[in-house]
Amino acid sequence: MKKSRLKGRLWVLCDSQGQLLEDIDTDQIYHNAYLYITDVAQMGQYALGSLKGWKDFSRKASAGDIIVAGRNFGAGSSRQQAVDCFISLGISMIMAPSFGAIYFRNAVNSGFPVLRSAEIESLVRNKELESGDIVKVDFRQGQAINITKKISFTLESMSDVQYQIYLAGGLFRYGRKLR
Amino acid sequence: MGQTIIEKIIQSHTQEEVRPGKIVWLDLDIRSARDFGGPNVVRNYEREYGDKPVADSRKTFFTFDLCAPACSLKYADNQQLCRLFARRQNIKVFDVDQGIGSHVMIEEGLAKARTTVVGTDSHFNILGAVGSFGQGMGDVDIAFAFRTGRTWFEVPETVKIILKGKFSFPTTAKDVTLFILKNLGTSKAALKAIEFYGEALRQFSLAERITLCSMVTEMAGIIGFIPEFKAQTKAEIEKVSGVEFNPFQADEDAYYTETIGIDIDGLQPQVAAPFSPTNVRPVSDLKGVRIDSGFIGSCTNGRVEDFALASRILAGRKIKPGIMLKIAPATRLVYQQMLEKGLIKELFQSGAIIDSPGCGGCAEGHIGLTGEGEIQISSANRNFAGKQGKGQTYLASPAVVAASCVLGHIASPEDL
Amino acid sequence: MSKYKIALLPGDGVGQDIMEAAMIVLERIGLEADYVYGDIGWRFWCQEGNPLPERTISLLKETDVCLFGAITSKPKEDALKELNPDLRGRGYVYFSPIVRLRQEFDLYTNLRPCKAYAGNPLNYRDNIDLVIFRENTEGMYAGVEFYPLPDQVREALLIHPKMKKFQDVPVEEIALSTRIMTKKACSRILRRAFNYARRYKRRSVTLVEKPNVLRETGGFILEIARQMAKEYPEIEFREANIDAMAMWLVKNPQDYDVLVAENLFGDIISDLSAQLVGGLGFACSGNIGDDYALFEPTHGSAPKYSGLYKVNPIAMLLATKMMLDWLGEEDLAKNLERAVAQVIKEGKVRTYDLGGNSSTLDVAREVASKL
Repeated sequence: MKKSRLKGRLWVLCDSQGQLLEDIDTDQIYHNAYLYITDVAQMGQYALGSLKGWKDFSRKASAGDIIVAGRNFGAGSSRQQAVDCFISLGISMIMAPSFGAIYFRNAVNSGFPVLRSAEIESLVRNKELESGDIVKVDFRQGQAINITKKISFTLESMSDVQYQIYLAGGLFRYGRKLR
Repeated sequence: MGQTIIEKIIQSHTQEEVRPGKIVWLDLDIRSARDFGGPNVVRNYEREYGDKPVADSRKTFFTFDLCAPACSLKYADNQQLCRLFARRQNIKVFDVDQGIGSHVMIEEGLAKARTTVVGTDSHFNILGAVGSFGQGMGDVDIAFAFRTGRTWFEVPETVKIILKGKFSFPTTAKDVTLFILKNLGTSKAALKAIEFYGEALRQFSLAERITLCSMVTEMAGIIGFIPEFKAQTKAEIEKVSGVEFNPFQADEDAYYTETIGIDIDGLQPQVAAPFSPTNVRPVSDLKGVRIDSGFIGSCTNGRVEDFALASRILAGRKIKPGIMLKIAPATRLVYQQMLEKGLIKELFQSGAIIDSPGCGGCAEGHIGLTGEGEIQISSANRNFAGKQGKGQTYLASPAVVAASCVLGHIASPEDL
Repeated sequence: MSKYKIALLPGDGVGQDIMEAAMIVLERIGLEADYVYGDIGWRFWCQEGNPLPERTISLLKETDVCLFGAITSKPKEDALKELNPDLRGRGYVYFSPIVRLRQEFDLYTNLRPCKAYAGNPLNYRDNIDLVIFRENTEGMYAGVEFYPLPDQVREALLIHPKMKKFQDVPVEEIALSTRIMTKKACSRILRRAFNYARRYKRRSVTLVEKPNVLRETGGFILEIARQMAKEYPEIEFREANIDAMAMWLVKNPQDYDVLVAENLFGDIISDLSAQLVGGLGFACSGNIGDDYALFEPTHGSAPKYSGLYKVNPIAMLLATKMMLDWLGEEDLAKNLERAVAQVIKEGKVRTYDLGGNSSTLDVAREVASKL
């Protein structure tokens, strides 16, 4: 069942100094070499496989986990697999200050929650969001709380269209409902 | 309140109220797919809609340019899959003989001023050069667009960039573009529409407008427009496209989130070093960096003027032995123009390798590939690590690429 | 934003009274939550032709859990009679909102704990502590029924030799219900029951069935249960026929722990078990899915007591305790249960069913004071 309030364990994509990684492009998220794969179930193992420091992500992540990334996550060319690999792993959502335009659309169209928040950079800097924290997000209200650290923060709430596509399970299903 | 250019284009394609941040359903004048992304568009389409007809086959196209002609078995299959679908649906295919899809759209008069055009090319916003709202999208969006003729879109904010000053040879539109990119980075214009103003831009030819608009993607922008143009440029665009060039202008009281001034007076040639197009330095900083290969072409610098400039620099000179210079015209039309002007012969005699029109210089699996340790200087628009192999790519103007290939290291034409 | 967002559906009749009672307790218990009220029940059937408006379903999807009061349900003819006249003849049909919610949110477990709290004068025996896992989506309640019996169905059934006996019964003199069991539904309800038993260290899990007569469906779930039981060697797996189970629950209910059953059998033994520990005033239930749950007292809306604050809120308060457990707030749940048990034991504040004359809210306030 699709819910607008999700709870999960965080993975904050930062470097060894704790700096958020910015401009992560779709090649780093999902490399060229695996574009031939069409079965979503097979894609998860390659997620973030070309991102320095995070190449073993697929082995560490569990279903329900939440990713926090730096600005412009999903920069570069459009490849659906860069979204599907996270769906394959059961990642429940990605939060970032901003996303690559095409990446954002691809995620919305797959019914995969992507949420923008202007607070992420300062939260990570102040260590108020760290990998391992349990966070609960209400994407209709645009609110979240870090349950581990007892800190609240805000996000841009999902627009109606994004939410309806999410509930329907993707753009095509949503299109059928429209008719 | 007045509207910016993008707001006007969107307003003319939707029934809904248009304001930045709002998502509207947008009617699409042209829906296209390439050999990249196209096969998945076809698979999505047939899975979801079976053999139902596309919304309007006269507004639906395929453009094969990533791997043209096919350089791998996979792409040969992909292209054929799309051709067969196109036949079933009575859709026109600009096949592997035509060249870069976005440029073909301009030449064919399909991407006209004030229209909305989508394709599976993240550089489709290049169509802003002719006042068209072009946008790259994934295969789910495009399959949906094929069937419905529409898509959802979030109205972007608009920023205004005003260029002050003038530039002259050896500085080119590409250098101005790289300099703007250095100033804006990937955040100032991120997810926004851009309107570029300034006398220097008013003088731009079509090729120069294309160069600047092609790298709005690297600025993380949605689309870029150059609203001011001299009469000659209007005539040129109308001649090339065969349709009237009458783009929207912003209202006097349109609202811009930010206005940024950039001074380009006396600008020197610029080069973007690995591994980001925003890693821009004056060419003098990088002079002497040894190179192994060069590339002139791409949607950014693939028009006949770009090759004419390179040819002038190579005139009477030879490419340094051991350096491989590869050239790819943007389209068949450009190739023809090059033949007529004798540029093919000149470039060939300098030592260049001439390839088919298309995206070969940038795509995986084609002439822009670099080996480990190889250093390439290219007139293209991307130099991310691993994008074209394990080597390094520096981005520059065709003039700098030509000069560097003569000397065997990064150099300005003035160094010759 | 609070940690939890809880949907409150008071419903009809005494549902409003007991929801107030629950709120008195929830306000005291220290749960970090926001509450939203939703529309459900007979009133909305009459006014809108829909006892479970779409807006309520949308609202539930934006919450973590639901606390539900009670609804009024009447036969088909009455439903049509009470429908707003402007809406008549437009094809509106009454349906059970609770059944629809179970389907919409796939709430496949119906959890019925039946515990004899010390000092409850209505306890049949002391030391009764039963937990019933009733499969909530199929079985005898899958809803695949026929009256009159269509020819194609009769034809198809004649494949089975035992149908021959009914071959010539006139169409309006024969009715058919089906009992449908799937591997998925059987497996998951059994899994829930076994995991519960392991987690709370219960001695046994008893499957209540009738495999010797209902060979195909009974045998089907029995086989799955026997296989699964091997994974829980520390738990005693028992098999009881439904008729025998009815007897054991009267004879020695304290010998049983976790019971698991198909929809109809589960319905029967959970009502029986509830009566052993005080009946409707104490019977609470959870409708639980993988990522959503709805908790309610099992009693109905008791229209004749509506608004009188007469009914016993303990069933609702125990449902609230179940909700806290499901949210993972174990300390708060234990605190609430302890407070309820204390009030029952002290016996000072009691509603009419226990021989007292305190009101619904008196009991709630007394429980709240012990938190």
